[in-house]
Amino acid sequence: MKKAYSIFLIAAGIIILSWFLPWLYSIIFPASVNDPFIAWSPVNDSFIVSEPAEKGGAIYAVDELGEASRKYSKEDRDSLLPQIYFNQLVAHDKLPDSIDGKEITIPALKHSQWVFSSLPRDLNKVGAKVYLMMESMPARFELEDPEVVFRIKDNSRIEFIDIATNTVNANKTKRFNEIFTRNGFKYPIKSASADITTRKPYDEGYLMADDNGEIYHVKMQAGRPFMVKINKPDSIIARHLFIMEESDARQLGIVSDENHNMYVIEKDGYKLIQLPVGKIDPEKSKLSIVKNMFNWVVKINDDNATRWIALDSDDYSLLGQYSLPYPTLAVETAASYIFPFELTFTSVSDCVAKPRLSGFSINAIYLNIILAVIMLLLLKGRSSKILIPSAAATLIFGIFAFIPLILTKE
Amino acid sequence: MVKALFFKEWIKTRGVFLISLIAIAAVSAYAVLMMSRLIQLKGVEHLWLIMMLKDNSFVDTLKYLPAIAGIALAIAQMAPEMAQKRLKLTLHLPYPQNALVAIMLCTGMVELLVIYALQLAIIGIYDSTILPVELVTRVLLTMVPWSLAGFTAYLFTCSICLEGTWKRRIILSLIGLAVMFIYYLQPALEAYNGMLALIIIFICLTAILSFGSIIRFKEGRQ
Repeated sequence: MKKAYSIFLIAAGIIILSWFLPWLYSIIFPASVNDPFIAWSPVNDSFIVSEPAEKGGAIYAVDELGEASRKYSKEDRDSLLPQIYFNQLVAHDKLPDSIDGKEITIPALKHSQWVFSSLPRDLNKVGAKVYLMMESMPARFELEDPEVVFRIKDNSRIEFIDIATNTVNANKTKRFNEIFTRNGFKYPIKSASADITTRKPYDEGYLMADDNGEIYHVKMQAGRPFMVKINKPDSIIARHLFIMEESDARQLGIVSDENHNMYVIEKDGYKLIQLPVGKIDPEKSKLSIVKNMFNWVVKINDDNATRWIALDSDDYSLLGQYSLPYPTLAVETAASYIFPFELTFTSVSDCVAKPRLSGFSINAIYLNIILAVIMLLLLKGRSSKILIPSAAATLIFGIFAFIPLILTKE
Repeated sequence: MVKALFFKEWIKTRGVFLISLIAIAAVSAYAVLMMSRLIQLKGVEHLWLIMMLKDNSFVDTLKYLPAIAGIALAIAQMAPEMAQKRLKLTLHLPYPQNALVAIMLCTGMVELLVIYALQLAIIGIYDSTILPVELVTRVLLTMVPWSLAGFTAYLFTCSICLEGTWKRRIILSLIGLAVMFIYYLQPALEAYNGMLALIIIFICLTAILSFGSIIRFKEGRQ
């Protein structure tokens, strides 16, 4: 029992320190990099980069190779990005009448712009197993809070529950089950996306992917079910869906498939169009889209770099792309010489607590060897049963083992 | 003998046990009252919406109570043993030492189990009258790690109380504090679902610390 006590105490110390010390280090030496603000100019057809203030606040265009080609003043930037800085241009009477044959008015600019974002932590969390359903055609036209929820019962049918009474709504359940069966929906639901709020111009209900990766548009109109199966090639197996209910009402949503390709669903004819943005895994990468009258700027925060891709807002063709690899910071390099690995229980990419090891660094072996030698010197004269495991633990776990072993060496 | 030992532990802990039971029942009733009041003011639909869209479980007031109850119970049970070295007398009873410590810890753990079961029952029974089973399960699964934090706090406090040297007490306290911190790192609902089995194994292993403290006490490390 005494041996078990010592082993458990030291093991607990190693576990706690391998979590606590890197965390403390990151608090004392924060390592964060702010991305520049980047937009696509419809005037000179290039990315305009605005560096953050702590990096000097420079404004410049980048060429096709990603090199800074020319510096601009703030006033120049206003003219190059009229879709963003139209208020400034109007104040100085500099707003052009048209660009690329498109008439420019403030209402038109405002009406055609929206922002979409998807965070990995919104996808990687344990969600409620019931789904709220809004009424898409409310009697008094204004959207109202949902009065029903649905769940998947026994992995074989959909069941509606009235919120007010917490009882099954047999009528809705029957109607929705009929339409789900008719459309060949394969349970369970792989992905379901809805924006449950009354602060939107209209409601499009849910975009759903079934177990086969087929895509469905489901909503409730005047209490009755509406369901459309979206035509797509068999090779596209939907993984994540994102409903869009923007004021310009052109797109129904965005789809990410099992191969990490991205598609947009157009409302008109439920057309599924692939976006030329490369591979994106929404479970790992932060994704944002800023859309305006002329273009979409898709920003993707990958593991190693931030990518910006500009697409034409009319036909989604590629206008340009730019990538900034994450710099290696001095504090991160220093940490790699101190800590052989890092234990974390939470992550910015999800809402789940679980132990995860990361940041394995061979650079820490130098410190580990020094600490192991110190350990041998401090425990000189002790039995080899204590000496060898202590030195070995220090060699492997470095500072995480050295501290608890020293503190409990008696 | 076993009965007598359980009774001895019960006499030491009954006061704190009853106070913890009443306090947790009262705060659980308060949480229920708050939900009921919200329903009266804004309707049950509002409660469902907040719960599903804002990830609010309406039981956050109960978050730290299990841990506090665990610490209080451990102090009530183990501090008298260490006062005036009464533990020496206990260890001289004609009963195996490990079984003796196991009975002491079992008494505390069972009392905590009763307290936490009451807390889960109050919230579970009320929620099941207004929410579907999926949401009731969601709330209860969010509360389970708080109860497990209570058991951990109890076992660490026991080992600290039974430890004879201040240096080791400080080490145990720091480890215990850090472990407790992990239970509250992620506030999202059902965030610890995937870790529950691991936590239960860790709690079982944490009991070793009290046995170790007793061995060190007997060795004269005071």
